[in-house]
Amino acid sequence: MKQVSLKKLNDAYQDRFGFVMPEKSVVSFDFGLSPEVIENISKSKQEPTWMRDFRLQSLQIFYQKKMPTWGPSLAEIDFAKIRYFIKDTDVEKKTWDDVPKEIKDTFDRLGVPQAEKEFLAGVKAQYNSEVAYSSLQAVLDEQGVIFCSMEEALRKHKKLFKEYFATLIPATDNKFAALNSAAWSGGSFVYIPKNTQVKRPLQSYFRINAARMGQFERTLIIADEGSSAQYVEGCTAPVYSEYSLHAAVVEVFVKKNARFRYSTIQNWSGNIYNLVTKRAKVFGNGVMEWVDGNLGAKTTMKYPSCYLVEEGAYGEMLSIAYAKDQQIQDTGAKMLHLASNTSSKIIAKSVSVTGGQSNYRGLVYVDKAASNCKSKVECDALILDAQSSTNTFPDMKIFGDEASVTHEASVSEIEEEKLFYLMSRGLNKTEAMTLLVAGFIEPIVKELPLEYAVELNRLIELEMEGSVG
Amino acid sequence: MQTVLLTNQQTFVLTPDQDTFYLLLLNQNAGGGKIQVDLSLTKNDLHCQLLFIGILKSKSDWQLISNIKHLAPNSTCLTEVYLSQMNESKVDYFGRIYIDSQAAHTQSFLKEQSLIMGQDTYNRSRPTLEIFNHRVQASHSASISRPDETALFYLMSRGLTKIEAEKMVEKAFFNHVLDSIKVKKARQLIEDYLPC
Repeated sequence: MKQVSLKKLNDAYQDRFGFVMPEKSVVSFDFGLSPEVIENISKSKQEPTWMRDFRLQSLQIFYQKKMPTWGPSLAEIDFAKIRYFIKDTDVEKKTWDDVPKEIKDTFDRLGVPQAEKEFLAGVKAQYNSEVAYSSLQAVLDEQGVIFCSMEEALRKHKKLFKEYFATLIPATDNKFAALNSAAWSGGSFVYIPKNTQVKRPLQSYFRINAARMGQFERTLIIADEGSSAQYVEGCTAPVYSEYSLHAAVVEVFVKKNARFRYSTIQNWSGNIYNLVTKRAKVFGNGVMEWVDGNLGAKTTMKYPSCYLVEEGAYGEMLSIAYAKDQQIQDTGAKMLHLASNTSSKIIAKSVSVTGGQSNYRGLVYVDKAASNCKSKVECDALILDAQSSTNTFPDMKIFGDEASVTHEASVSEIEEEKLFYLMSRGLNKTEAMTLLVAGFIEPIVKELPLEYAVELNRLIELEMEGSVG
Repeated sequence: MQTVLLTNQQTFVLTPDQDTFYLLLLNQNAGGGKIQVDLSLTKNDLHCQLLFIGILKSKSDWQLISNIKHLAPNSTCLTEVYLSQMNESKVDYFGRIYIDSQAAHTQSFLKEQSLIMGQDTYNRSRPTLEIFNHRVQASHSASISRPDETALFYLMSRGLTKIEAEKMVEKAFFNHVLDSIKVKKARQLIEDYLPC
């Protein structure tokens, strides 16, 4: 049953995103993790000694840390059977014409160059372990905006890089943050200078092409005082019978009066373990918004968080999880109110269908020193059939006496009356259910840039096909 | 519906065979404690209600657990927790609703409200839902807050001191609960519990 369901999911995904290109790597290491592999990754990137030492220390932390004892099972993951580094281009290209054909064809099929032309301020396209293509509008470059790969940032913006790197998510944070810290490769570095407004989104697209691959990109974003910007990431991979691992780390610093929105459309193939640590530190009157769409992957564990460290800081999380065919979407958010007059909002919606399981796992923490904090959490789950399940595990820890925290969660099926009404208007059952699911997630979808909102709705349509009997 | 007052124990394992209203009134003079209620609805068409009410005195430390398991079809359960917290009181509430794959057409709701009356309090709330059937309605809500400033301001503008105004808001908080109780015996027990 499980295998049949997984096959169905993979077949639907295969045509649009699950294609595979022949491997033509410049540098790649064999399966398994060791200090030698980590040293070789560092060496191939010609990194300074401090970074090599950081990686090796992180590897020791990774060895010491235990696997999570809560949440979905990760017992299948064998760290010795994963490839930790595959480099497919010698240097990051600045035009699509210079990008190797296989990689260019991949991103063409995924529509990345087209999106870049039409509405993006800058693009990073990561293929396996490293960024293959990079662009930024000239006008933003002139304003001092930095949007480059982490490797380039380490070389060209040493001071800025070292000031922030791994300060918000240290290697000791959790086992997968330690693994990422040891084996990180690729990812985006973004710096928005003071009082600079970037109107169009910056986009990164992450693609895993190889089988049994580990992708460990690391993203570091600094929105300086009074700035604003929006960052969008997407991800896909070919369908293989064996699992791959995606363990990213994302650190975002939102300075005083800055505003940053980080949107994700996660559409990994059904063989990927997606275990990501994302965290933002928000300073005085700063605004951080996470918009998270989780559709793909075998198992996702992702709980973006906001550390609200100065007065007036605001954190928001809008998330959609769609779990189908034995997928487990274990997602949520954490809001830590560490200063007075901070506020936060979490709205999480999930849909479980044909044996999928979606879990909301979240934390609202109000520190003793933080007075007059406000937080609101809403979780709504739709469960569409008897094979599926849904769980909600919120945690609210309120120290002090001046906070106002509310939490609401509901689980329900699609209302028969609504279904009947739509079907009486000529829609078949699948169309009617798809429309109702689209209506259910609409409050979050409308927060995405139009092009992504359209794409997300199309993905939901694709996922719903064949899932209603 | 029969009324059962849960008292003199720390752990209650309940498998009712008829519709039941369970009432648990936390000892206002106690320094705290751990109370766990495991309620399993194993019969079809069973309707239950579980109500915790507590005025937590200063420096008291409470751990409260409600574990509602729907194991048969067509059962309903309403779990409610109403607490007011005085200075330095602590409460850790874990409320679980579990709906089994066999328990179709179940309705289960959990509501928790904590009114923070004192200073330096601690409140941890973990209302969880575990749902394994799609023909259900389940929800939970939790709110933790101080008395509404506007209400206090209004009462003080009518000549009440801040302490008097806060007491009146607290009374209104529990009266609101009382008004929603339809079971006569339970109402009487709650009236006797609440300060005049």
